[in-house]
Amino acid sequence: MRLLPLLSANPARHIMPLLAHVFALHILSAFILVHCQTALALTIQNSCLNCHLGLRPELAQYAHQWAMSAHALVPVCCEECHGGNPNSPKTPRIGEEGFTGIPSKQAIPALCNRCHADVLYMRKYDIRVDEENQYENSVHGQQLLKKNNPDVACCVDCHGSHDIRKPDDPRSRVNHSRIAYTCARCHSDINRMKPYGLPTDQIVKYKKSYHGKVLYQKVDSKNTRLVPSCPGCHGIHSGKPAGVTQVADACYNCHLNVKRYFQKSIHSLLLKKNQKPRCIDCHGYHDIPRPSEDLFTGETGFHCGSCHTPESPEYQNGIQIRALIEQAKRVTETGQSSINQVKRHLDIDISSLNMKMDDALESLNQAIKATHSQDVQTVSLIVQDVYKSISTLDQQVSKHYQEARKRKQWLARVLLLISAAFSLIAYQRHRLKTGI
Amino acid sequence: MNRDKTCTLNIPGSMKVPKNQGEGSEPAILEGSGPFSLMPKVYEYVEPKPVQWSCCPGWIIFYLFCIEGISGALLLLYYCPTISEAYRSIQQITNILHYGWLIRGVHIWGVHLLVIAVVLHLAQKFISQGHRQVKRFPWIIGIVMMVLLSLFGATGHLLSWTQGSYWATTFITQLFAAIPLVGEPIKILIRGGNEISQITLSRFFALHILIAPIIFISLSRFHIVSANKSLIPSDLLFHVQILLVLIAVLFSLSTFFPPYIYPKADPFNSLLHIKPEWYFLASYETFLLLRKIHPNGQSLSVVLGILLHLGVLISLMVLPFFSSSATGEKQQRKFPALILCILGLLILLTLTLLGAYS
Repeated sequence: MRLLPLLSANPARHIMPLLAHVFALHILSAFILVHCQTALALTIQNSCLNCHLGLRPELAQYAHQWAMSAHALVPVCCEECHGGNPNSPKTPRIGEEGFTGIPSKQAIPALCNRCHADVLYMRKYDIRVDEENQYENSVHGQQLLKKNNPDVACCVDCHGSHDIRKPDDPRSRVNHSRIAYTCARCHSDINRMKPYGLPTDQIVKYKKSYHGKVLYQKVDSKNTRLVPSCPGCHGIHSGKPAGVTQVADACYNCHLNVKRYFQKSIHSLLLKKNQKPRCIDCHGYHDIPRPSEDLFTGETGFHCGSCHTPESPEYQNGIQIRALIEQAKRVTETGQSSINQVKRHLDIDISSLNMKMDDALESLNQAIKATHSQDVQTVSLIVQDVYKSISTLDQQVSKHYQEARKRKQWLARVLLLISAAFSLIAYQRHRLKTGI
Repeated sequence: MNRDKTCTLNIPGSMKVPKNQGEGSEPAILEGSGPFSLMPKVYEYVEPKPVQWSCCPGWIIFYLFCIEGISGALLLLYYCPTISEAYRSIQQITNILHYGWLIRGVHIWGVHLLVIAVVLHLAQKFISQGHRQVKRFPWIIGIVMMVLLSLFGATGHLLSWTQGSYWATTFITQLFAAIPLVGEPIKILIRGGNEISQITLSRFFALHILIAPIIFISLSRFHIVSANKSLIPSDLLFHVQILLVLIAVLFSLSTFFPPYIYPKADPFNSLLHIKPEWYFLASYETFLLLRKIHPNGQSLSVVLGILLHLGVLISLMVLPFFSSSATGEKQQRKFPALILCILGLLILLTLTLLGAYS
């Protein structure tokens, strides 16, 4: 019956409102599709959600945050953490039907571990279950659980309470790119850190460090996933990475080759005896700069001269190693500039040149690592490999220039032919035009 | 030129061809039989005529397209359209095959020249008010062909399977996803899945070498015939000269500025600054500017951008329908068209430069 007006004398009068309705329906569907996860999560019949969604924004946000969280996908609903009966229509009071309200901070680790320490339950989601044990042994865990100090971080402080997301989600607070800022929320707070005598400039220093620059500024096109953020050295839940007795030793977890050379050095023997020099004594911590030759005989910061006198054989050794590395770097820079010139002027495929350059850079990198052995002979042998690679590269570059010359000679011949043909046609046209 | 003169062609028998016919009239049939009876027809095309410079960009586009077709066919002999082999085959063509560098260079430089020629052709027809005359049909087909050429560019760019092409295609196809309701299905249809993969490469390859060329060739026939009444240019010798110049320019560019082979596509290592080919920079910058205007409404800015592009295309298409050839002198009509054209080209150039240096 509602379609009958469409058959009347003026159908446009009825069609336009109908189209408007269809259009509005499409807009609504698009909105629902865009916010698909929220929409699906909120379709769950849950009196907590139904009620909170109608409250003022400060209280409604919890329902929205939960709807976009990893827990909503399971779903782990409100009653799992807060207790109560989600089917009950009335507003619960604390104690009624098991409703606990906001859990106390000390109770939170145990609350999370009800599920997260359950091997069988977590196996389905491929999530580790050793967080409980690690957290209990950490400084945070000991302060909270043994000294009953609520001022330290527990699960919700890092992972969020309602807006918990998977760590690989870029929006997660514990995502690799955001975790340093999450730690800094407490560790940059002067008032909070004052009682523990902890510094508050770590985040500022970290962002200035080479690690921070790779992570946040993508310098040198390094893989940002491989650079350490706070947990890389301090551990995730335990406060220490696996196999590390002190944070200063955490460098070896990534810089394995350096460890191999360092163990051959005299410094290694001294470290066992005097607990010095450690990595951080030369390279610093938090604000670790990109290592340079200034670490041997520099003017500022830590260098050989910080402990050894300029006349000492150790310092002279440092000067020799520095000279070797600088020479190798100059040679590789010359090789790179040759490649750049080939790239700019010739554009013959330079992948073979790049491979040779990679070999040279790899040898240079190895030589830099070998400097930790403090042995001139070892460094010198590796530097020879750099020279060999660059020499092969130079030969290939000269071949490329020969090829480019050949191309230009070929072009000259072809252009000559084309010019001759062009002139001939022009002459013929002129003849035809003038009728000669 | 004296049309009454007779002209001797350098053919066996040295037959004389009268040139007394007026424009448009059939040349006289020679006495004799056999292949020589065709000579007057040939003469009609070879006979030098006053050079029509206005037709040059159109014919240059045609010749460049032919060159692209030939060089593309030669590249096809060695190109492998698979994600594991595409990049290697491009390297092989450029570095190992004899004159492979030249074929690839001509193919890539041809695209750049083609884009410039298309813009010039459009501007020239716009200024000379071709769209205001009765030739609505070639104008509309021309606009459709221009869209097809951009399809050639977009699909061909991915075939090299380099970092730039991979991420530019990701960026462009991701734009479609912002369209409400149909965006995501369109994106999946173009990509053949959620990611740029082998299926995407196969689809783009098919579009680049088969589907788009068939449509383009069919349309170009109508475009040329409806604009020039003939598929063969009237002054063949002059056009051979144009072709020779084009070949010389393409060979020189390919030798002195051979196209660089960028690093291989790596789906796990996104580029810090994704930029499409220079001829898409104006569109790219439009989207960026709209995103700056609506920083929180990314979807809205993309939809606005797509609508803006569609609006420009539709406006260009319907131009001939909103004008009358009867009003005003031709010179009087040319002036506003010239101003409008310069304004349009300036906007295009500014957006391209902004896109290049943003």
